[in-house]
Amino acid sequence: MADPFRPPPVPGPRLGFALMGLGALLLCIGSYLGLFVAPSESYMGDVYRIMYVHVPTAWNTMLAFTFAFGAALAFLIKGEFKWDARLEAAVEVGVMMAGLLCLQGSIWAKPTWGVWWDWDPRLTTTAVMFFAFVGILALRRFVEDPVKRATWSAVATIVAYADVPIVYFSVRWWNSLHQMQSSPETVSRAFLIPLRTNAFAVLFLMAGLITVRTRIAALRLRQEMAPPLPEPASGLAAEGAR
Amino acid sequence: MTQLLAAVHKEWLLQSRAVAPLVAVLVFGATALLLFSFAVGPDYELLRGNAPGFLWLALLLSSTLTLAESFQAEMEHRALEGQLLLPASATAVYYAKALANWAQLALLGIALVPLMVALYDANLPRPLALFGIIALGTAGLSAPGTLYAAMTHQARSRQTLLPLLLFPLVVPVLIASVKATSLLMLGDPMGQVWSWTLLLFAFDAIHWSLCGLLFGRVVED
Amino acid sequence: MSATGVITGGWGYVTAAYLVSAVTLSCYAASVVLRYRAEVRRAARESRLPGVP
Repeated sequence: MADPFRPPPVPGPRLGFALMGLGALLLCIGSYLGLFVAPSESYMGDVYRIMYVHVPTAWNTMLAFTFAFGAALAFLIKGEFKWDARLEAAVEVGVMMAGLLCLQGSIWAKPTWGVWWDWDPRLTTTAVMFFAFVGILALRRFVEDPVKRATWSAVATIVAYADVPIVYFSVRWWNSLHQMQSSPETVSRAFLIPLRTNAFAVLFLMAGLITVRTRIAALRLRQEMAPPLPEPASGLAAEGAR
Repeated sequence: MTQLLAAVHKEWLLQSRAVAPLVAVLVFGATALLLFSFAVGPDYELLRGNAPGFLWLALLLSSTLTLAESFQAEMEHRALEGQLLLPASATAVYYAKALANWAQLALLGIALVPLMVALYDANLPRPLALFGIIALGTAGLSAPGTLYAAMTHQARSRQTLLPLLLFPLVVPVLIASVKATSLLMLGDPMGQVWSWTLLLFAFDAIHWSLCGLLFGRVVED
Repeated sequence: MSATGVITGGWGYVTAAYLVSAVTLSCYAASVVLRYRAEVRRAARESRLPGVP
C-alpha cells in the first residue's frame, strides 16, 4: 500500500466551477417559480414561499455534514490526506449553510409565530451543530501539525455527528410541552416543482463549493507537507520564499 | 484490566497530593452560583424555579477547569508519551482519566447542593435520587471532556478551545440533567424523571464507548 | 395574522429570506473562488523558486 501520509493530489477546478454555475442558474429558475408562479397557500398566505429556499438548504446542510462524517471515517481508516481536505471543505461549507439555515428559520418564525426563535427541535439542533462544527474549524486553525490536525478534526467530527440525533431528541422532548411544528406539510403538485428545482440547485451549488474548497485545502496541504526548502543561496531567493 | 487499575491508582495518587486545585474549583463553582443569583435578583420564586439550571451551569463551567487541569500533569516531563511507550494501552489511560474527572465533578456537584439549597431556598425531597442524576450528568461531561482535553492541552488557545468544542456536544446532558433535577426538586406528577434518566444513560453509554475507542488515535504519534 | 387565521402580507419577510440567502451564498462562493485563485498563484510562485523539486 502506498505511503498514506503524502500530500493529496489536486485535480483542476473546472468541475467545481461548472457545478457552482449550474447550481446558481437552477436556483434563479427555482426561486423565480417559487416566488411568482406558485400559488398562494391557504393558511400561510405568501410567507410559505420562504420554504422554497429553507427546505433545500436544510436537506443540503445535513448532506454536507454527513459527507464530512464520511470523510472523517475515511481518513481515520485509510489515512489519505485527500479525505482530510474533503473534511475541511465539507465542514466549512456545512457551517456556512447551517448559519444560513438559522437565519432563514428566524425570518420564517417571526411572521408565523411572532417570535424570532421558537425552539423548533430541527432548527435548535442546527444551531447546536453550527456551534459544534465551528469549534472543529477553530480546532483546525489552532493545531499546526497537519497529521495531528487531520486526526483530531476527524475524531471531533465523528463525535459531533454521532451527537446530532441525541441533541435532536433531547430538544424535542424538552420542547414538547410548547410544541409548535413550524414547517407546513405541502402535498400539492404546484408546490413541488419549485421545491425540487431549488433542492437540486442547492445540491449542485454545494457540491461545487465543496469541490473547489477541497482544492484549496489540498493545495495548502501540499505546501505544508512539502519537504523543507534548501537554505537560500541569495537574498533574492529568501525574499521569494517568504 | 490490571493496566486500568494501575492507571486509576496513579490518578488517585495525583489527586490526593494536589488538593489545592480541587478546592479552587469548588470555590469557583460556589462563586458561579452566587453570581447567577445576582443576575436574576432576589425573587424567591424565580430563584427556586431556576435552581437546577444554575447548579448545572455552575458544574458545566467548573468542568472546563477540571478537565483542562487533568492533563496538566501529563504535559510535564512528557509523561503521557512515557506511559504509552511502557506500553500502557491508551484505552486504560483514557478510562482512568475519565473516571478521575468523573469522580471530581460528581463530588463537586454534591458539594454544591447545600449551597444551592441555601442560596435559592430550594427543596430537596429526594436527595439520593438527585445525587444519582449528578453522577449520571457529570459522567456525560467527563467522557467527551477527557477526550477533548487530551486534544486541546497540546493546542494553542487551549482555554478557549476546550469549552468551544465541549459545550455544544453536551447540550443533551445539560437539558436532561436540568430537567431531571427540576422534576426531583419541584415535583414530578407525570413520572417523567425516568425518561430523562434513560436519556442520560444513553448519552453516557454512547460517549464512554465512542470516546474510549477514539482516544487511541488522539494520543498516537 | 388576520381574523380568518391567514397570514396576510409577509412579502417583506419573503424578500428578506431570499436576499439573505442570495447574499450569503454569493459572498461565500466569491470567497471560495478568490481563495482558490490565491492558492493557485502561491503554488505557482513557489514551484518557480530555485532548488524546489
